[in-house]
Amino acid sequence: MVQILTRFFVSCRDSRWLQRHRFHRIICFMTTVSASLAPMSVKTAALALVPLGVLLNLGIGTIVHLLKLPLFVDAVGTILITLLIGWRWGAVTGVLSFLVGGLLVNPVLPWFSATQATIAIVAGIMASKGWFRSLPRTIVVGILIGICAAIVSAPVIIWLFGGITGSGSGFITSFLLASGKKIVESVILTGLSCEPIDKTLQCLLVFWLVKSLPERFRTKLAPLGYLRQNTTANA
Amino acid sequence: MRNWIPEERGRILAAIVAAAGTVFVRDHLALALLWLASILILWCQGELRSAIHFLWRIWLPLASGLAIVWGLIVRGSPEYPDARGIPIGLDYAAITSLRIAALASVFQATLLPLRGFQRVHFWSRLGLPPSAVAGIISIFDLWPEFVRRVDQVVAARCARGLMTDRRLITRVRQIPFAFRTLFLSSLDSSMDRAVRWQSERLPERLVKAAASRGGSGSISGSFAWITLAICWVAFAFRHHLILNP
Repeated sequence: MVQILTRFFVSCRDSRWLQRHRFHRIICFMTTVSASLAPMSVKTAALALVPLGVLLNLGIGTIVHLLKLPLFVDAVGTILITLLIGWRWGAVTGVLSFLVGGLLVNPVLPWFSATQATIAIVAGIMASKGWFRSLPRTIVVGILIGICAAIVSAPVIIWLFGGITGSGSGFITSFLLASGKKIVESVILTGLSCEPIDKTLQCLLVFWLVKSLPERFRTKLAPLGYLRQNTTANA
Repeated sequence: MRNWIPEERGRILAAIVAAAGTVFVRDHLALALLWLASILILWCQGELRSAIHFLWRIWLPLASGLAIVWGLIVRGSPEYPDARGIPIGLDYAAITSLRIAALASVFQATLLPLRGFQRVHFWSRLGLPPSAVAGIISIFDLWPEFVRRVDQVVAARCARGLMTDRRLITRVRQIPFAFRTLFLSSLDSSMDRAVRWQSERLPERLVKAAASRGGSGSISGSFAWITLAICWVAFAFRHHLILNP
């Protein structure tokens, strides 16, 4: 019913005759009101949430930078969007974050886009089975995502960056290299020691954010992603 | 000048050829040439500032780190495990640093000069649906506002006395609270915006407007860029084979 009304208002608003009429403003207002009352489609949710996810991925990096912390925290938006509207949009968010981040922040970021897509896929699989429902389960998901991210990003770090990416983990890699380990071993060991901690922290952050999500957003977004499977215990 | 600017697909194809070549090339001169060419393109299109910013803030520390690790600590190269010595390590560090610089400059030269409707045209010509294009475009416009909001959130927490000291643990504790405030305030406004955009059919209108204005490039420009990229790859492999027969 609301959708039919919205379509009616949109067609009224777009008609040339009404555009000249003084009621046009009221019609525009009614269009916006009816559109906001209609159940949210994935397209609209993606239009709202994907840019927000990208900004969160890049923005939290800025917070971390401002606070001078030895962490990445660059996939919170990806995991959150995966949970809210599905893994495909999560992957889009992750890849777009690193493409846009390449233009705005650091041009070497796009080479780690595959890592973001992997994070979205793993988070999606786990979320579809309700693994974001409780705190201990979320920690397990974080560790799993960290391991997968470490494995996927290792070839890029080895092949393109020569093992050193300029982050805090570079110190661990250089220590392992100095102790006589090969580059492949050093990078994978560094990834396996740093990424699970970083990703667990991010998953916990997402868990907390989803818990603090207002009820009106939860109701709107529940049919689109994996919220239903993961909020039953918290509700 | 307009004739030398490539179309969207030509731009992407030339960048892919150059980037693929960069990944496999092991030659200082070839990588330096590509880097300089990309910097020249950025300079011609008025984007030199971003390139310098990257070199100073990101590349220089990275290159120094590579030189210290491979030249002074490991004193060798993973490509030649049997050979040892500072020059071999420094050589590997130099090749890797040049490769990173070349890849970053190619990426910047491909996408950074696009502005306003050119950006819309670029993404829609790559086959993305209007809503996705509108989403991408909005990121660029929302980013400065978002950064300002991040500053405000951190400053507000300091002003309220919630960050009493600068210890690491105090700073770590701020993340979730700052993040939550940021997320919830942005979620509200972005939902409203998306509903308004959809009801006003803004994504479709945006793509239509960009299409009516046309792209900024030409076919001859695309052809020139792709040819240059292929020539560079051929030169790089030939030069490498001459040096290492």
